Amino acid sequence: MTKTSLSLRLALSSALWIVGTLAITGALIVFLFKGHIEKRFDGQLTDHLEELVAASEISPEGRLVLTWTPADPRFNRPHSGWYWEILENGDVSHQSGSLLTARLIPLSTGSVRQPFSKTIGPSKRDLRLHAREIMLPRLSEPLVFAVAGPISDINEDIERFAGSIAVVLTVLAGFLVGIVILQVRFGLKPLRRVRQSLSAIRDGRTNRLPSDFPTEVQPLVLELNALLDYNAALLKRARTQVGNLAHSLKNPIAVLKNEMEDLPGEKGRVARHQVNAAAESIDRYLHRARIAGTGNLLGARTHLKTVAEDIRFSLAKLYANRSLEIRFENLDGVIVQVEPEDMEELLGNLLDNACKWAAKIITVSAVPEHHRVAVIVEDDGPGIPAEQLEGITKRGLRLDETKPGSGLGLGIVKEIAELYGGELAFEKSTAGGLLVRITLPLAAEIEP
Amino acid sequence: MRILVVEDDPDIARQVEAALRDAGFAVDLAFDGEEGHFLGDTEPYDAVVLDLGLPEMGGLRVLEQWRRDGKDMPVLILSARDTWREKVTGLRTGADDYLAKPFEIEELTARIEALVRRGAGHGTPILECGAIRLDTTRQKAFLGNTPLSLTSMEYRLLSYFMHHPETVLSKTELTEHIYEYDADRDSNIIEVMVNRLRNKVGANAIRTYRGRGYQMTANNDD
Repeated sequence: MTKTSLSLRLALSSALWIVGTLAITGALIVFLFKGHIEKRFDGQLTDHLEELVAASEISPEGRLVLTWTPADPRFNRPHSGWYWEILENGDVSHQSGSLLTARLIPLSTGSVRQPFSKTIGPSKRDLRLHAREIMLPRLSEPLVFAVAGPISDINEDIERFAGSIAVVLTVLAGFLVGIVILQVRFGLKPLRRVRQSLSAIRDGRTNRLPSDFPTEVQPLVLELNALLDYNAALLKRARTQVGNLAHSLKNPIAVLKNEMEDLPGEKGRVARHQVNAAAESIDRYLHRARIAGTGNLLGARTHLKTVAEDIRFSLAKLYANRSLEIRFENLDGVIVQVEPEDMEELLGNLLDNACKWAAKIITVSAVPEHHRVAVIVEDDGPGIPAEQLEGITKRGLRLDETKPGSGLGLGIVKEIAELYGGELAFEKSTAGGLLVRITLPLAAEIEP
Repeated sequence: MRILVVEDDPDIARQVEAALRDAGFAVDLAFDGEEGHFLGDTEPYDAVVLDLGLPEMGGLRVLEQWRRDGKDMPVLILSARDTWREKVTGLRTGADDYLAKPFEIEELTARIEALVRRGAGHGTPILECGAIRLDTTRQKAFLGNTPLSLTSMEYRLLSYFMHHPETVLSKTELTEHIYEYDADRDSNIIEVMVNRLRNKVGANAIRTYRGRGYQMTANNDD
């Protein structure tokens, strides 16, 4: 994972901490429970031992007699793990049936050092042994009473308990982690909103972020808005500058051009040629400078039909002497992710060109594709010969060599289209003339 | 036909003025927006050439006010601003044509002629009235197939008549449309000029309505 997610970081760290705490808690509980269980086990052993002591009587002959034997059946089942034994002068005086003939306290031990100890039983099981020396009246030596039970009983209990504690704690941990995830999601909601707003801006659905974010996020949002404004202002300023430059250059050029109109001879030809060349360069580069050309510009969004209608209105006046008809097909609701002025230049030049060549009818249509839209402009004019058509589509229009009048005058169109990652294709229209197809990014889904 | 040229660059203004005069128009110049607006508001122009970047009052505001005040003469915007946004704005504000600088002077005069013609309700560049023919693109008048030799003032007068055939035109109206703003206007000269024109196009082509004015007509059999 190269990118870190805030939610993941928060959730993981919380989960780690929850699981750790619960594991320690569990261990502590099991430890406490173990002590308790052992104490209870020892209590059981003590009870059995005291029962044995109570059952012990010394006969008048000075012999040990048990008035009853412990009733617990485990003491009679062979090698059950539960045993008792009474030693008299180091020899076994009485013992439980479960021991068969084995000894609980090995001979070597002789005396009792500790009341509770660990030993190994006849069936090689670990046993907990409780032994006590007790002096009964009429005896010269103390008797050793011993009771033992299997440690595995304790362990089984503890394991069972630990098992159920683990289940409970796991469920608890799952629950807590779930809550943490919800909390993280809730807490980070504003960030998700920022992301959604940004994508709305990118899609061109809005041009600013809303301003009602929590204090932690607000500075970021303000900065972003400022950046958006700055971008827009920058573009506007650049365009104004270019406009001013255009104005200050074009007047003198217009004057020069007109003055040189009837300048005679070679000098006149040279001067006219140079001024025309300068005028063309200025025109081309000023137009180029004005292209925002940024599909990446946040907030680029243009209603295709609005632009088309403006252009149609203008062309109707500019070509008032020709009875041309510009038809629209499927332009409703198409929103392209193109800066509005760029779209105006693009469509304006395309349609202007079509008007120049058309006999009567020009059609503008839009065909939505996946996330893109093909804008198609076709006319019913003479068109371009098929072999040339293939050439310009393949090689692409070499704009810089397109001379005004001789070429299609679509230089700026191609340039804008390419800056928006669009493709420009030339085909023969079924109406007879030229068909120009440009694919542009769609800003949003088609609105109903 | 009288044209107003509102242009702050004196060189361009002079060139446009000369070209339009050559094309047979009476031309008035205004060098700033306020003067231009005033002239367009008070004088009856047949077309206007309007720059956008004007001192005192921007070209678009001038146009906007004219249109708001019901002035409907054809307006051609002649501007260095040549983006489609600026064209759309200009044309939506009420301009009838838009020409970007630098421009060919012939294109300007051709467009102004077309605007004037369309403004008077004519579709083709050749205006006809009876045997008289006026080629507005070449500024040539014919009687039948014979070219007519006219002074520039005679051409202006004939042109105005030809743009408004069968209409009774008062001396004042004729004066206003063939004389420039600062010219000496003597309405008696109109009478003299009409008579000279009659000598060239035929006496019956222009009828006199006493006290009302003159009418160019194709019905000249009586």
